[in-house]
Amino acid sequence: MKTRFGIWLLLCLLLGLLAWLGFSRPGAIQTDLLALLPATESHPRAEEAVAALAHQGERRSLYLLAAPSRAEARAAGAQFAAQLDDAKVYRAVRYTLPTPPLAKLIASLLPYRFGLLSEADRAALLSGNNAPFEQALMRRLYSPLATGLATPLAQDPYGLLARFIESRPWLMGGLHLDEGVLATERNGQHYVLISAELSGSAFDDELQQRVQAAVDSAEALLARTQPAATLLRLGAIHYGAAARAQAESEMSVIGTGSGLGIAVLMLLVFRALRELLLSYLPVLIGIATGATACVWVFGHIHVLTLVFGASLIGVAVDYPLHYFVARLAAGSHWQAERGLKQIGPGITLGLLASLLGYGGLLFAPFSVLQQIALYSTAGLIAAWASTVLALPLLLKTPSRAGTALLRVPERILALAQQHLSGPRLWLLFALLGLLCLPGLYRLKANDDVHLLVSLPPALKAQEAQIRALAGGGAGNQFFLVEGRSAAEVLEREEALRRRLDGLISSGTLATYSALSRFVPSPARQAEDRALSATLLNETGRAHLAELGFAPPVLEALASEQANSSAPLTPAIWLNTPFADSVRALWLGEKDGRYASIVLPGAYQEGAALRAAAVPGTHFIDKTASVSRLFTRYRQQASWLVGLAFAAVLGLLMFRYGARRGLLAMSPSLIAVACALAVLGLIGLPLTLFNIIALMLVLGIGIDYAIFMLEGGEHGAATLLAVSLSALTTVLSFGLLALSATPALQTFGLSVLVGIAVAHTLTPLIRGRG
Amino acid sequence: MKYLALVLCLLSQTAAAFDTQQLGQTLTQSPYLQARFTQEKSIAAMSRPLKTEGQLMLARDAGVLWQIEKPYTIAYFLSAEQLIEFADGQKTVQDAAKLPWLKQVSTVMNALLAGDTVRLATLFELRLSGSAAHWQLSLVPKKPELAYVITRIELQGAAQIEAMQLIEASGDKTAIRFSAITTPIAQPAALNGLVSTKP
Repeated sequence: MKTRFGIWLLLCLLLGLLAWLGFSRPGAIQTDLLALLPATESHPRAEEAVAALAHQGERRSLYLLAAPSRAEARAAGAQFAAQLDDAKVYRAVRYTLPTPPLAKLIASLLPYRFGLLSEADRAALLSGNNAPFEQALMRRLYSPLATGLATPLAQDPYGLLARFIESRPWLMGGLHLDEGVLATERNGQHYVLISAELSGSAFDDELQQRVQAAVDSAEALLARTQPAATLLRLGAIHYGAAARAQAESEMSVIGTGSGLGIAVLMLLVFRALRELLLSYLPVLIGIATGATACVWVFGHIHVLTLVFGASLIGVAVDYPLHYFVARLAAGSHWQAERGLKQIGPGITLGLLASLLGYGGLLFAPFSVLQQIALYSTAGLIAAWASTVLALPLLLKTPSRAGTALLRVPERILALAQQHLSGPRLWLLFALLGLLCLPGLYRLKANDDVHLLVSLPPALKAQEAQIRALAGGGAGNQFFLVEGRSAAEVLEREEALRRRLDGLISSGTLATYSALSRFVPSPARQAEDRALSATLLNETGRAHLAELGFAPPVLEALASEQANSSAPLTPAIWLNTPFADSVRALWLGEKDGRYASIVLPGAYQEGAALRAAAVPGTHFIDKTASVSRLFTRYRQQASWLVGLAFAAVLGLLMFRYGARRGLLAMSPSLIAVACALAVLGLIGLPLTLFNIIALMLVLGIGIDYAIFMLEGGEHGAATLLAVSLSALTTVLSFGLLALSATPALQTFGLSVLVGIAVAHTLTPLIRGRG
Repeated sequence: MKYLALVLCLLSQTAAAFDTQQLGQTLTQSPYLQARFTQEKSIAAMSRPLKTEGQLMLARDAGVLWQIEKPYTIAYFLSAEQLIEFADGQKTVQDAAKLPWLKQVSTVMNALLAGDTVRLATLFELRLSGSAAHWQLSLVPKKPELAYVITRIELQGAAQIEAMQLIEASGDKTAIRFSAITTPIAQPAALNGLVSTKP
């Protein structure tokens, strides 16, 4: 006994060391809600595109200040930006846009100007209408004041390049530049935009806290100085911070609730503080082991796993519970070793059943599920080991609580045997089964990936508002355009864009981002070069000479036009600092093929967008793909559960005979049916997570049956232990059902109902003599 | 007697020494301004300077109608909201939404012609020399987006602005002379339909 205790102590020290090392690393706790999604796309570059877009968006935060007047909005914006800047949590805070070095922009495009025409100029030249160009030139020559973006007159007399630059989509759809600030106005409210870049990852918990603190204090100052102004925010860092805060609060609710519940139970039943404290020991070791295992195997632990893990308290406490109850029942005849031998087979079988239940998840290609599986299996093994290795030494003395409490289970068992045995029992089971039918009928499946996340409604509302005003889309649906060369990609983009422009004019789509809007395809540039040549050919130059252009200037123009045929390419454009807004859209070359992204802005129906795809372009919808994957998993998992039921039934029948085997199985079967029926009656959907919950219910329900069947003459004690363990499990998972994350909510509810039903029906198993 | 003459002389000098504020007050008294102009633009790319002649009509704080008569007929109406071009009997309207620089340019133009030194002082560094009888005002842009286009503006005048030179960043120079300057009380007919009548 002492050696075993020594071994356990050593293991605990090792655990402590590993835990400390594991969690002291930054990023050990992961709050990125959708980053752990499995790869779903069949197109080789689609996942790369999803990652590129996610990465580009991850570090950016947008803040919109709203106020009833333009002056107030600007004042609020300036103040907020200054506060954020002072807090030094962002690498860059942009409120007033610096004047772009126009000279540099013009210089970088000048060599390619003959092939770069604005849409309006192109249309005018195609229709042979030269009037607008004449007018522009006259205005340039004769108007009293210099107007607009001025390209050098000698090189661009008709201002073609100037109009090309002016007509590029430099800004997001809904905003315009108002004296250096991005602003808009809607429904009597004035808005100004501040954008900020993080210096680190949006999912770094320390950075999250600092940003949150800075934003909160800036907002508080705003409330004092500009009460009429409101702040809207959008950024991965806010969702991450909200997720962490929610997880922390849920973990503490579940942890405290379960801890207190166990405490009350222990004190009521065992009347001593010792059992209470000792019961926490395997539980805490179990949780610590589970978390440490995750951090070491995966490199981090997701908050979803942590919240789920808190509910493991209710299951891990089963092992010490059985031991305590055995001790209680033995009264003054207690011997630690013998007691362990008595409950040993039961709790070991129970552990194996749970491991089987969770273990299946280890093979799921979805890393959060794998984490939950590892957390649970490691945690339960550690709790079991602590019970087996440490508790005997610490519980050598007999229990001081009387065996009076055992009379209740004894009575229940007697009643069950008396009134509910034989055919009546089967009738009861059949009746219960029938009662479940209405609920089962109403049950509907829902595999939407959004059930995995719970975005705070306030943040979601602000995001929706900002997107509506700025015209940007959510970024999780886009077109992947690919081809054999950069030129082919750009041409395909242009073909796609013609369809998208149609959607814009019909109002289905607000706007879109595409690299080809800044870098036309070489074919298009060649067409435009031919068009602009009609203005600058011999006749054109003669006309300019009449107007007064100096001959050397016209000669230089002629020779430059003749010699410049190289088009503007993505590589050249992306090398300039002006390409920031489209940089993430160009995926470049890989394995001999080129790809880019066309990113739609706000739109009404995904179906219309999907239909706009042209050959060589693919509409990618990551969230829909994952939802489809979940559907597949759910269907596979359902089969697995069915198979598991059959296998366990076979085992039970093999060990206990056909009738007893079926009897032992019945509580679990009815528990599963009831859990599903309750879901259907309440209107909650059936998801992949419910199927996993049902695996758990099956595992635990079979545990109870096995305990009762193996309990022999200790029936009452076993029933008491099973009851206590059911109570703690129900409490933990019941608290999990209060989570704001829908997936965890349905999981908790399914287990709650399942275990409650399984437990209620368990005494009936002993009903057969 | 000599002393009195000296004192009177000194007094008149003090009265004559004036600042941009006084200049502004002298100039921006009337809501409308009508004048003839001759403009000469020296552009590096051109072999000879471009000359135009015509008539301008200013509605203070509203807009300016610039009617070129020689060497050909074209007119521009410039306001903060629109740029309208009158050519060959055709009227082309472009709004501020299409021309993001319109608001700033028309504000500067209007302020220059109206002699609104208060508004000019927010956009330019002003240096005034001379007296009320004959003054020169030099304007250097404060903001970089304006300095990108204009290096310096010079104004000269007496009771009204008589001449203006614009030196652009590209090196091009524009010199305008004004004559037959009148300040009507009522809105000139040509402005009807373009500018709402001032109360």
